[in-house]
Amino acid sequence: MARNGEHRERRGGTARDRRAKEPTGKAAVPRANAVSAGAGQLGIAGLGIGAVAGLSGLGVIATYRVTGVLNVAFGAIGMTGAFLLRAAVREWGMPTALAVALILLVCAPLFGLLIDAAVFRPLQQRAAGVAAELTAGFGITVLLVGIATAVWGSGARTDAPSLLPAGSVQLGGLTVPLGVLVELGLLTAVAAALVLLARGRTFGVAIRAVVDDRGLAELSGLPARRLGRLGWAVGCALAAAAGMLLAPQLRLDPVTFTLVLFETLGVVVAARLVNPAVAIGVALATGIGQAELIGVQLGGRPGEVLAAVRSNLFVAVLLVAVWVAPAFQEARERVSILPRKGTLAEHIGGWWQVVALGVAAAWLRPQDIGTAQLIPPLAVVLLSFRALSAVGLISLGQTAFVGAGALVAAWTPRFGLIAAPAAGAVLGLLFALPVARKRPLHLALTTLALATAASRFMFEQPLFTLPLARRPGFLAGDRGFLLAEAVGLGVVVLALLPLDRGWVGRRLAAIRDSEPAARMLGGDVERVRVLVFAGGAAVAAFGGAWWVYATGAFDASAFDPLRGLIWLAAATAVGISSAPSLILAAAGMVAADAAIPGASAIIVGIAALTVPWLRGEPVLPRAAR
Amino acid sequence: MTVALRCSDVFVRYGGIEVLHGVGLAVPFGAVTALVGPNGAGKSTLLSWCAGAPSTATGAGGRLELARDAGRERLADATSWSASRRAALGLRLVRSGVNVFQSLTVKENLLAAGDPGAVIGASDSRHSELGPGASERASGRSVFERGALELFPELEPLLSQRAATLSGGQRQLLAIGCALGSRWRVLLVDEPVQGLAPALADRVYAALAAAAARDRAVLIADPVTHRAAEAADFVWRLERGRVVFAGEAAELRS
Repeated sequence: MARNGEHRERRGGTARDRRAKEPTGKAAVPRANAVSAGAGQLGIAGLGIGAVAGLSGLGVIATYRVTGVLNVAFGAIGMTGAFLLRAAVREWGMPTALAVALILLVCAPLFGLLIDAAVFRPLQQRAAGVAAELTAGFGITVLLVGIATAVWGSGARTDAPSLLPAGSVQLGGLTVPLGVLVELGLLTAVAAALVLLARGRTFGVAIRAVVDDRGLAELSGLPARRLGRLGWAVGCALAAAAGMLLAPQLRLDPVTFTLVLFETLGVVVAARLVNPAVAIGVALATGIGQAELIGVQLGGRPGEVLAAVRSNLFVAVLLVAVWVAPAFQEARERVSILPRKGTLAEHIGGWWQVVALGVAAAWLRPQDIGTAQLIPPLAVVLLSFRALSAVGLISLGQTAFVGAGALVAAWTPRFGLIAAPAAGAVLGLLFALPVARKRPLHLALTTLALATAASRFMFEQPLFTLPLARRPGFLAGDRGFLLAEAVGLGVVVLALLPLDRGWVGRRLAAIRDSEPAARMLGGDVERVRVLVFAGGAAVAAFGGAWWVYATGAFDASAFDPLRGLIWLAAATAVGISSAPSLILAAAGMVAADAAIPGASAIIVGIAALTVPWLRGEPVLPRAAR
Repeated sequence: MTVALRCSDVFVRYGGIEVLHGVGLAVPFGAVTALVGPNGAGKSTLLSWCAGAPSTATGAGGRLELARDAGRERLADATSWSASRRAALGLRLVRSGVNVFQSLTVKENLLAAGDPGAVIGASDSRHSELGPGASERASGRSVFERGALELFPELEPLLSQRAATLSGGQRQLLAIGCALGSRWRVLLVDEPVQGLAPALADRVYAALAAAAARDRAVLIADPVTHRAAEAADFVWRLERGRVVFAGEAAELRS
């Protein structure tokens, strides 16, 4: 996240990113003047961006503290707020102040109440876990991005109305833009209000009680639902405020703007999801740091690295925060739910469909074989989630391992199918070890940080990318390659069988069900979790290797973190423990994208929000719904 | 005696296993009712169902009726009510196991339980459902004024200690104290003396009996039949998800 006029030089960034983060022109001039007068002046410019990131972080914290739900849709909500404001002012001719008031005080809070009532509240009543809540959040993200794209198009807009006053004041020899002062004032007011509420003798105790154990709070007559609604309303309003403040400083397009806002999640992670003061401090420091880096000029490779770091400093903060921040205190007691196991008939039915799909592949037209070749790699990637779920883990960043596998396979065409999973396993070990003792939500955020960092600092950098990926010689023919992919997929399915069978399956189920109980049985929970995580990373990297051989080139956009979230949502929606369902989901996603590019994301977004209701997941007694 | 809580035709399933098969029971005001039966009989499940607690059950149904106040014969159909709405009418559940706010201190736990309505204002409509009777509110306050600390002075030196650091027995005392100190009308307690020394267990039962002597109803679930029967006025016995005995405790004792 960076302001206009900061001369973003992301040589390695995707074209989309560069487009979105380029200066927009008119509003850039005062900023450019501001940042050209030394380190102090740069710092002032950074304060503004830090304030917006802080505001966004406070919204996430406000929601998390009273609902226990990490609102990963805040980026999309901010993007929607920005688009709504732009449409209201530029297209419908509404006065800016009125439009802002409507969005902040009506639309965003109502949307918060809506997703609380329609999505998250029912999930909590079903005693759903972290995975289900995160998946629902990503479902909302995908839906909002899809709706914004459908309504306003995918092109970047540069005419978002500015909410900040022009002009500046002189303070201590520095020129301070009035806009920065307003942003800082807003941030301070919101933070003070949140802290005062949380520290109140009665209200504060109620909030902490609800955060501690929502179920018990409801049974005790505490206003858990009311506080939850308030948390969602405030969280969405702050996300929309951040989006509206940021929009004039960047090019506004649905996908990239959402991701740019999402990158500020690092400040929330650094604050352990609960501490507003730390979030604000980290946000302001990162904003200042990003601005100060503009003053540092290096040439050659170091210059490229510096440019990448400068452009993605919030990503770097996210990466550091997940490792450095102490383990999160999860907001409430989680009821462990074993993955649903289908009946024998369902399993046989599922596998018959997979076999039928394989047989049908023999009659594919030559022009369709290229598309079909993407199905087994995606199926392997989805199966990697099954490995993780065996010990109750979720990964928001499988794209890191898939992309790494693809890179390794592209670099080593002869041994890629062996080297890729090996590299994935090593990478998985390296990244899981420091956070193995932390909660599943922490590990999940670590994977997200890893995926975002891998995407920005590796996959998008020319240093690491290869234009073409040659297949091993024996896989040259298209039909033969498809057959080999099917064999590879079969190997993965067989390799994952012990996860829910026999002695291994029982040990893993014990860990998934109750870590303390598993420890009492003498199991080394951390070691098993790390090994399974590495195994999942190896499977994902194996999928990446097939992927890059199928497409013939390494495309960084294929391993964007958002794609990883869509994969997780798809796997969760169809049932993470069912191998045939995952394979069929992969086929469906590839077919949907072949028919209408991007369709799979919309379908997955809808499925993530609706399918859990259609499947036989645990529910409250009918009386208490 | 008027009925405080009545449930009927309650069934609960976990996966393919039905653990309650059309169970029904009634809990009167001014008495302690005991739900007894061996482990696995469905006692905790029934209490949780009555309170509307979050559950991993895959299917459940039945009818729940609650009295709006002790003076009225007519019961309100609470079947579709959420847990918080039931709590607002004075239904409290003390679960077995984790039953206090672990990250809060003992004092904060008591404060949170003591007057939940205060945190959102006296005009809160849900809490006004506690009943129009001033006597009801007054009785709630009187119990609260006596306070959990008067009932269980063992908690006094622990006031500033986080609940997570308490022993199992201390935590159980705190949970019972919080429940008794809150504004309740029907109290469901799952294994009230779990982890308590015998002398303390007697005091807990005595406190529950004293509380039920007002216009309130207490339902305890205990696997030890004779202990529960000693403390209770009425007993319902569950076995394998079915009621196999319902009557006065004296009848069971004899």
